[in-house]
Amino acid sequence: MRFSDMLRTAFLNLWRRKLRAFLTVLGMVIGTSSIVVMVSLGIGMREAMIESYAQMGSMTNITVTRWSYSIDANGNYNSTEKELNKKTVESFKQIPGVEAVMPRITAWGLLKSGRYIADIGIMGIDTTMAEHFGIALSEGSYPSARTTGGTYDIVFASDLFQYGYFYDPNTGKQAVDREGNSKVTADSRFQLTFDYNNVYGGSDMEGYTPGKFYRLNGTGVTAASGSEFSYYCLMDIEALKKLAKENSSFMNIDTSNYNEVIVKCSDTDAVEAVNQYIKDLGYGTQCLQEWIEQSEESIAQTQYLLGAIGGVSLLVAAIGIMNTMMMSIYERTREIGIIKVLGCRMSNIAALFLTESAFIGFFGGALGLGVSYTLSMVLNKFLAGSGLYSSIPLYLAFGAVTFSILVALLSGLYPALRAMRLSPLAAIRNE
Amino acid sequence: MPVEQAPLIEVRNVKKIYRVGSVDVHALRGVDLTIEKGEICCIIGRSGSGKSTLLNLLAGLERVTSGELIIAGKRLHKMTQSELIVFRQKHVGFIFQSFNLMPYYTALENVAFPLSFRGVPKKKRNVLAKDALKAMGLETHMKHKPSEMSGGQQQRVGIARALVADPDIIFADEPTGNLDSSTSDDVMRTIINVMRARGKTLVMVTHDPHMAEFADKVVNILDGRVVSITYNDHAAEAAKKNTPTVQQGDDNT
Repeated sequence: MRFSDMLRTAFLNLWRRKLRAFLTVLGMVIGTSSIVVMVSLGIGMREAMIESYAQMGSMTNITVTRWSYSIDANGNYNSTEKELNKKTVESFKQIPGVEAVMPRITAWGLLKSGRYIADIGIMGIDTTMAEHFGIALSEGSYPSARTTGGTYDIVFASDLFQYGYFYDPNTGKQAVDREGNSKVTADSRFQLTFDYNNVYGGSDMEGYTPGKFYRLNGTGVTAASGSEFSYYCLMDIEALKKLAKENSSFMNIDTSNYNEVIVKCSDTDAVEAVNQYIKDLGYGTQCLQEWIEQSEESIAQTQYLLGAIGGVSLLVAAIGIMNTMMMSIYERTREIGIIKVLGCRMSNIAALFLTESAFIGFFGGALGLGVSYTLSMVLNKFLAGSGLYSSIPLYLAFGAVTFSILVALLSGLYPALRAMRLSPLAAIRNE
Repeated sequence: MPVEQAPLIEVRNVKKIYRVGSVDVHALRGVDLTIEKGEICCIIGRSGSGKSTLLNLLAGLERVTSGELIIAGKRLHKMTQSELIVFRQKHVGFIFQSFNLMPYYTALENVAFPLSFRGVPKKKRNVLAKDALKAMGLETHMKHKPSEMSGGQQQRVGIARALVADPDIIFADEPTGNLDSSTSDDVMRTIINVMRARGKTLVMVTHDPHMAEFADKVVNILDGRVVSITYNDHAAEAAKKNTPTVQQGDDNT
């Protein structure tokens, strides 16, 4: 029997019993759409998770610290400390899959402009590497290592002016005007100190040597990207080291080591291997990929659960198909007998019934997908902001239709075998 | 291929036993029979005599319990289910008592239907089916569904369907059993004429002695055994004889 004849005959057989075929298809529609919507919620969760991590920093970056922690067999915490200096930075650059390495130290200080002050985090970076790590400026240029005349170059964090970090320490009022704009701008004059007593009192105690104020030269402002760097002011790492040495009584920074080194991998696939390599060297590492993997595990469990809930209705629909096909075979016992006498091969009969099942699966899957897209749109409209988000990628769409056809074929298998085994003598018997 | 002299159908000591519960029912108790090519053979007997069972065995719808059954040189008693189906596709046409047309197909689609199982493309199917229906005098009824036709017309569609694939042997199971007597004669004459014209072999089962008059050879069966075989020399003339009261293709059952 020709394939086109098979398809036409099978379709006509369903068409003859429109209502029943429609009801069976409806079961598949509900089954498919429930499974697709459930899985789409899981996929949406995963996408939202990756997106939120991506906002926290680059997916290809690994942050290396001097300390690594482990738990031994007795349940005791062990920590090891390793050197993290210029030499190690150079050795990291040799690891295959590493694109760039940037050491950094972070410090906390007070920024003073007129009567206003702000608490700031300062990150000392290797400015030659800054571009590799997506440390972008909205204006100006990277700070230089120049320290002549006690003036230091600095790039201001965009958050400083955007969110009104400056305040008056005497009144506690924010330095913003009526429109909410910061009274302090990047063009103001700034001084930097690491001695909090200079601002909060106590610096006039007897025998106390207050920390110095340093003049600052603002060379730029960081881009308001919402990245991990946007709330840090930037200085050259060597300049910041010098300040740290001079203010060692106020800052507890080990200037012989970097407290962090950021390693950028050439692509996301290389991260795992590089991360493991550095870990094996005895350093502590942090990378978003590792966190994502952990989150993915828990999301996968949720996804399975959601899929299983959807799967129940698909199972019910599959039983519906089987029931419909069995009914159909009992009704058509005589007809099957006739076509056997007329010379229809056994395999053709089985194929005919399987094709009918497959049609139910196909129409159920395709219509179910339409319903899923509609439901997904409605859900995203009404659940916006609740953290639930439904996403139907193309592979899910194709997978769902294929899966429902497979499920339909599977449930049609037994009825098809039954039909195949029916005796042709049914045609001869007279009612 | 069988040699010239070998009969088309050869039945040797065929037995068929049905098992009903724990009881064996002997439907055929050893039948010997030969049917020549082009012969019109009528198997006649009371209900329960085993005549239908013999027909089913000959048409390859059932397998023999013991004995030999050779048709067109093929040993049917050794064949499997699917081999029997292939045999039926090639050699057998079947005319049913209750017509067994597909109610949702038109006459043309019904006649073309068996060809679709043989993988004949649609265009060719329709050409062959049209020819077969024309030969039955039904060119005006091709688009009619069975419910829109009389019993006689329906059975003619059935005959066209049996002939469309050009089989060697046509089996007919009480072909006029569901028709009134005047239509019966008419349909019977149609069958006999077309078989003779095309040189087909016809094996027909009936319980109506009147129908047996159309056959060359009448096989009488009783209790699963052949009790007599008679030859009817006037069968050909009987078929050609035209009774004025019945017009071919115009019946009203």
